[in-house]
Amino acid sequence: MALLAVKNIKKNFGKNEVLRDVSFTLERGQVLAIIGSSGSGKTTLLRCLNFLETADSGSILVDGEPVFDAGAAYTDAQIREKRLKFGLVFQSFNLFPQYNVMENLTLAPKLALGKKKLPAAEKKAAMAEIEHKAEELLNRVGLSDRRDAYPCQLSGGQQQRVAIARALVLKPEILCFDEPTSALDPELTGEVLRVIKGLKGEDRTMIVVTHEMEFAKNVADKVIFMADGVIEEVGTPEEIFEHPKSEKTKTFLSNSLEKLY
Amino acid sequence: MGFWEVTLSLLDGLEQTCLIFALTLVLALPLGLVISFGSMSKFKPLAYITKIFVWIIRGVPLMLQVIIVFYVPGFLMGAPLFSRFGSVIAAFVINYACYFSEIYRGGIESIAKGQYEAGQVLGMTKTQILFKVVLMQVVKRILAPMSNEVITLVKDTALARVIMIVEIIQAAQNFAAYGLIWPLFYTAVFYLIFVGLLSLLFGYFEKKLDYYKA
Amino acid sequence: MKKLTAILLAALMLACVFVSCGEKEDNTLVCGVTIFENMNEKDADGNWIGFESEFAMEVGKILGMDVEFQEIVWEQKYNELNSGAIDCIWNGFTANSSDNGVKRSDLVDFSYGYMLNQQCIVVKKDNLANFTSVESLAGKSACVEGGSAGESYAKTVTDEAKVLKATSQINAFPEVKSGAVDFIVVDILLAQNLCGTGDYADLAIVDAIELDSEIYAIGFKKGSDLTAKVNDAIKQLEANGKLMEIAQKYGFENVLKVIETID
Repeated sequence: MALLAVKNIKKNFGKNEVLRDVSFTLERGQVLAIIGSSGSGKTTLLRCLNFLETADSGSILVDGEPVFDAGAAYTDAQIREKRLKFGLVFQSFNLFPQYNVMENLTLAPKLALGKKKLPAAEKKAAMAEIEHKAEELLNRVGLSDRRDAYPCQLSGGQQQRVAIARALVLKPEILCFDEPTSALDPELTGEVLRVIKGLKGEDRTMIVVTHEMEFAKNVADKVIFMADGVIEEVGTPEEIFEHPKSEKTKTFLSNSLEKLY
Repeated sequence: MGFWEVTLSLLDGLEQTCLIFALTLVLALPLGLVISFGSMSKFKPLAYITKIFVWIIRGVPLMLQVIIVFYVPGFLMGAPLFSRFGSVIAAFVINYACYFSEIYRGGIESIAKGQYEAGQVLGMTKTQILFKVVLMQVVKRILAPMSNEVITLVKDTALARVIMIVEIIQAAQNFAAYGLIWPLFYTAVFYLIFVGLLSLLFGYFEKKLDYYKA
Repeated sequence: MKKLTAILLAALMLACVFVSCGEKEDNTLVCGVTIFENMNEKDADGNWIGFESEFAMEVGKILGMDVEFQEIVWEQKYNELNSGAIDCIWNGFTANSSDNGVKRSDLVDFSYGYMLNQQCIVVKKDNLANFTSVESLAGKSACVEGGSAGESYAKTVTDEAKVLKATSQINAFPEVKSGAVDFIVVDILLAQNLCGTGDYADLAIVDAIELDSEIYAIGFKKGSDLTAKVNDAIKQLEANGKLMEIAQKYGFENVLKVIETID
C-alpha cells in the first residue's frame, strides 16, 4: 500500500482555479520531485498537504489512514496532530531570528512536551532526548559547530540546512521541500542539495518542489510535471526527462534547458 | 521658604507623578494588546467597533477625557463614580492603551507570514506562536515608538492637575500663592532626570535585543 | 494567555478599589478651595489653617459634620459642585458678581455674606506712573482669573480681546511680572500679601484706582438643604463672638461683616 495517497484535490483562490483535480500516490522511501512553471499549482499542492491551505475538495491518506477530507471539520488540535505527519522546508527558510540554531531545533518539540502531563523525571529524560536528537541532526547537516549561532550570522545555505534539521526533529513521515534552493545564491545551492540527497540514503519519504532539473533527474524516484493546476505527466525521471509524452512537458523542459545555456 | 522645603514638597508631587506613570503603564500595556487583537479581529463588527473606539480616544484631548471621566458621572448621578485619582488612572489607561494598541498592531502586522507558517508546520499552537515566536520579534520592532510614548506619558501626567491631583507641577504651582515662581521651573530638573533614566533603560533594552536581526 | 488573564483580573480589581474610594461619606462637608494665604492654606504639617479653613471647621462642629478641604481648579468650580465632587465653594467666593453675563446667584445658592472685599489693579512698580485713573486702563492688556469678578471688571474698562484669563488668581501674577500683560485685576487681600515681597517685590497695587466692594459668601448647589443649616451656624458664630475671634487671628477684623441679603 502507498504511504501517501492524494485524491482529487481541488483548490480555488476566488475565481482562480489553482488546483483542478490532482491525484497521486507515493511509496514509503520514495523521493517525489514536482516540477512545472510558476503558477502551475505545485507550491499550493504542497501547502495543502501541510494544512497551510485547506483544499476545497478531495482527500489525503497517510498509511491508509485519512488525514484530510474536504467534507470534514477539524479542530485546531486535530490539525496540529495530523500535520505532524508532514514536515515542510520553506523557500525562505523561516528560521526564528531571536533563537539560536539549537533553540530553533528544540523549541517546537519542547513546547509540545511541556503541554504533556508527565512525571518530572520522565519529562527531564524526554527533554534530554530532544537535545540529543537535535545535536545528532545538526551533525547530520554539518553544522554542529554553529549550534550557538543566530540565523543572522549564517549564510543562506547554512540557514536552509538548519531549517531541514528543524523539520526532521519532529520525525515526520513525509518531508516536503518548497523550492528549497530558489532563494539561495547559485554557489550555495550545492550544499543544500547534497544534504537532501544524503537523506534519501536514509530511506526517507520526500516530496521536493524544485526548479533544479538535474537534481530532480538524479535524486527523484518519481517525477510529476504540473501545468495549469493539473498533473500533466507523471513517471520515472527517465520517462519524464528522456521520453516526455506531453507537448507541454517537452516545451517546459526545452525552455528550462535553454535557460542553462 | 527655602530650597530644601520646596524640594521636599516637590518630591511629594513627584510621588503622585510616578504613581500615575507606573499604574498607567502597568495597566495600559496589556490592555493595549487586547485592543490591538480587537482591531485585527477577523470578526469584522468587532474590528470596526474597536477602530471607532480607538479613533474617539485618540481624537479627543486627554485633558478633556480626564475631565469627562471625573465630572460627567457626577452630573448624571449626583456623586462622582471614581475618586479624583481613579478618574485620572481610568482616563490615562484607556488613552494610552489605544495608542499602544496601534503600535502593537503595526508591529504584529510587520512580522512576515512565514514566521507564523513555520510555527504552524512545527505543530505549535496559536498561543505558542504568538508568545514564543511573534511577540518577541514585535517587542524588538516596537521598542523605539514605545519609548517615545512612554516618555510622552511622563510629561502627560501633568494633565492630572485639571482635576486637582497635586502632581509635581501642581505642587510647584501651590508655591505661587506665596509669591514663588521658581519652583515651577525647578520641576524641569525632575522631569529631565526621570526621562533621562527612562532613556537609559530603553537604551539597555535595545542593546539586549541587539543580538539578532529581524 | 493565563498570565494575560491574571493581569487583566488584577486591573479589574484595582479599578474596583478606585470605584470604592469614589464613594462619598454623607456626613462630610467637602469645601472646594484654592490656596490663598491667610484664608485657605496648609501649615508645615499639612493641617488646614487660615480664616476660611477655621471658619468652615467651626461651622462643621455646629452641624456635627466632618469638614474636608478639596483643592479645585477655580474655573471648574461649578462642575465640581454640580457633579457632587464638592459640597460647597468656600474660598473667598464673591457673591455679587457674574460669570459670562450670568449672575452667580442664579448659578448657585449663596449663604449669608460674611466678608467685604475689593478687587484692585496690580502693575509693575516702574509702570505705576502710567496708571492714574480708570480711563488710563483703556486699551491696555490685562490678565484676570477666568470666571472671577475681576474678569467682569476688566472687560468693561479695556478691550475684551486684550483680557487674558488665567486658571487662578495667583497665576495672573507671573503674567504682569514678566511683562506679558500691563495690569492684572485680583483680590486686594491677596495683592496686599504678595506685592512687594519675594519674587513679586517689583509689583505694586494701584491706589489711584478703587473698585466697587464685593461680598464673600459660601456657594452651594442649587436647592441644597445645606444652605439654611450653614446660615444658622453662621448666625450662632456671629452671636457667640467666635467668628470675630478667628477674623482677628488672621487680621480680617475690619472687613468682617455678616450680611443676610446680597444684591
